[in-house]
Amino acid sequence: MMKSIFKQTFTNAFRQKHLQVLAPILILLYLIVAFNSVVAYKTKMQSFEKAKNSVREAWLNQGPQNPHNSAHYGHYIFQPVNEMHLLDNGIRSFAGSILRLEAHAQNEITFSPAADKTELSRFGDMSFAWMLQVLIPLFIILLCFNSICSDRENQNLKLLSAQGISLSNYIWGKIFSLFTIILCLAVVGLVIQLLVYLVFIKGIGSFDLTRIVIWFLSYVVYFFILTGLSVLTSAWIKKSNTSLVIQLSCWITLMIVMPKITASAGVSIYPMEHKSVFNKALREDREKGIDGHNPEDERAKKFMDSIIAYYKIDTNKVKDVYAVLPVNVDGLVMQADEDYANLVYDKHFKRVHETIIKQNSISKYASFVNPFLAIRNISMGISQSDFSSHLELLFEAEQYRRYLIKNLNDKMAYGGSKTGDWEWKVDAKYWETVKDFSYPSIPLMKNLKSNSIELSAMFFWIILLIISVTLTTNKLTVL
Amino acid sequence: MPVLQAIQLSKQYNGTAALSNLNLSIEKGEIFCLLGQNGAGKTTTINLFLGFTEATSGKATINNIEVKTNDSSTKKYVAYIPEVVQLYGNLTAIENLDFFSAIAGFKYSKEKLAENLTKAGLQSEAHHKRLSIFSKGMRQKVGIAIALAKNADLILMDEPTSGLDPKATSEFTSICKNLAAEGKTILMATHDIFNAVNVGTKIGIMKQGELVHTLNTNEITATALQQLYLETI
Repeated sequence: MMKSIFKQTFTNAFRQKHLQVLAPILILLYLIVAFNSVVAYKTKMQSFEKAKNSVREAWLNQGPQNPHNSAHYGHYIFQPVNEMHLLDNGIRSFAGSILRLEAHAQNEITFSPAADKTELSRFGDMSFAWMLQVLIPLFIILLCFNSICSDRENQNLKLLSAQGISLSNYIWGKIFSLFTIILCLAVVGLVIQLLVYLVFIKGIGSFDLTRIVIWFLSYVVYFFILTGLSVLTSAWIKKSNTSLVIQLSCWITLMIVMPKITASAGVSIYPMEHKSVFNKALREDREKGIDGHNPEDERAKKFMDSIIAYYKIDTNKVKDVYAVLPVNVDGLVMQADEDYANLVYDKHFKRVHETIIKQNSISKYASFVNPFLAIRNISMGISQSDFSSHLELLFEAEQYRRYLIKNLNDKMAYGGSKTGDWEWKVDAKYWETVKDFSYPSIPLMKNLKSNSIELSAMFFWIILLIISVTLTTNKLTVL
Repeated sequence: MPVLQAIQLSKQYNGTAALSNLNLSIEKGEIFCLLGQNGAGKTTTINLFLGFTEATSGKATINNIEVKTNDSSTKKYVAYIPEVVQLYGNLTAIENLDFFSAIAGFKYSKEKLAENLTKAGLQSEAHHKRLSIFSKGMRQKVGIAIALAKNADLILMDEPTSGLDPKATSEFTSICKNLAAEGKTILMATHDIFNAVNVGTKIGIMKQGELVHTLNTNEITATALQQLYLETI
């Protein structure tokens, strides 16, 4: 019976004029998106590699230099690019792309690509993920909105019932057969994307297949949920036109209105403090620490006394303490200042990040109401283009900044220079000993864990669908 | 043993009686035509025998098995031709027949499917054409072919000649007579008095959910039936 329903649904669907028109348009869009992603990826990858190499080259070739000058000159971290970003660019267009690392300050990442775009393009990139999240559901509606109510309207349901069809088989048969058609359309899209990437991007053999499979499987679940809901709506609503209007209204609400509402609700419920308030609080806490550049600073003096005590120097006997000390105190003071500043930055940035995480939590929990929000977050997570991945980059960058500045301060302190000798320079070979920034590679499990709420929501939707189909089967009447 | 039987069968919709205490018995090979105005209870009677709706009281039986809404055990004995036979416009006649037969549990060869369509009066050149271009009469023939392919003891027809031209109606009448001659039992709801006299072996006139008259067609002419019908409603 299921085989017959599959065959009938397939034949009927593929002979429908709107599918015959829309399917080639969809394939054309797949191609446009694939080429668009390739161009964007190549541009970003070239810029990234060029900028990264250029910064490293400048670092290595700075010649003899005072380490603290180098610390002020700083280092740059760029938004990394990976193959999964071809499929889902996530929040990357809206997140900053360049982070300057320097002594004394933890800067914010700046220059988001979206800032340079026109108003319209700021609404989001047209990616394969966007097509799967937004356009395919529209196809699902067009295929399924009248799947059952049209059978009721033209009395086929009565005839089918008289022929002895089981309503459970009928509904599940409709869901599975229509889902298979949708899956075919989506698989065609994935194959087109991967083929275009492989042909037009040299050396892109390093695709993480497991990640792609898991990523696509999450969409398979998403399509199954939406197909089920659409078929069920068609069973509950007796008129095809009404079913179409209701389902299109749901599409607009779930795909366009609700994401905006949840984002706005997040900002309203967990407001972010104003930049000036943040800066003031940061400055006040920062001023309580040591001023690494002002030897008259009270706390700097205290720190100096502790150094003298540590090296057991009798200040009554020694006229020039600094000349006797085996270390450059300036380097030690600056590192002490860094250690304190790190505590201050950790405290204030943690607050900001926690606020953003709380704001995002609204959309995470809203996944239990809207499966689109669930798949959007899961897709971005697996693609490493979500806020968690962005935070991971910022965290790793900050760890590197601390490593870098400590290395430079230690060189100042223990490298052989004397206190107050700001003209002292390290050998040109020293720069090679400082390791380059290693861009983080987040394990898949960590990505999935950071989206555990959304994954639970998907599971919840599957259970809800099974229960709803069972209840509908029991309650559905052919009249 | 009657193929189809209604015993004190009643159905109410929101307190309004659609069918009241119907007692009916149809034997094998009979063609029973139910006449009556819209709302007289003809379609409700057919729906109750198909198990599409639950009886408020009384019982309906097919081959002595009680019809129940959540039990399809009587479905194998019944074929049904609705008033509007739409089927699937994107499928050909033979594909529609294949699908509906498969749902009923029958898997036929292409030749057997074509044979059923031909038996139902559909010309062979139409067998592989999509139903979207078919007239109502042609669709009705595919509906008959579906009923034939099921090879059921009982065929329930809900105003099957509604909207058919005289030629198609005449062809349909012949098919029904042939089926009865083969031992099939037919219960047909219709508005067409002359066709009822022509095709039926028995006629029932319904009014406001009640079976008011039951007649043998060999005992009455079309004109007399028309007179009785007009007096009754």
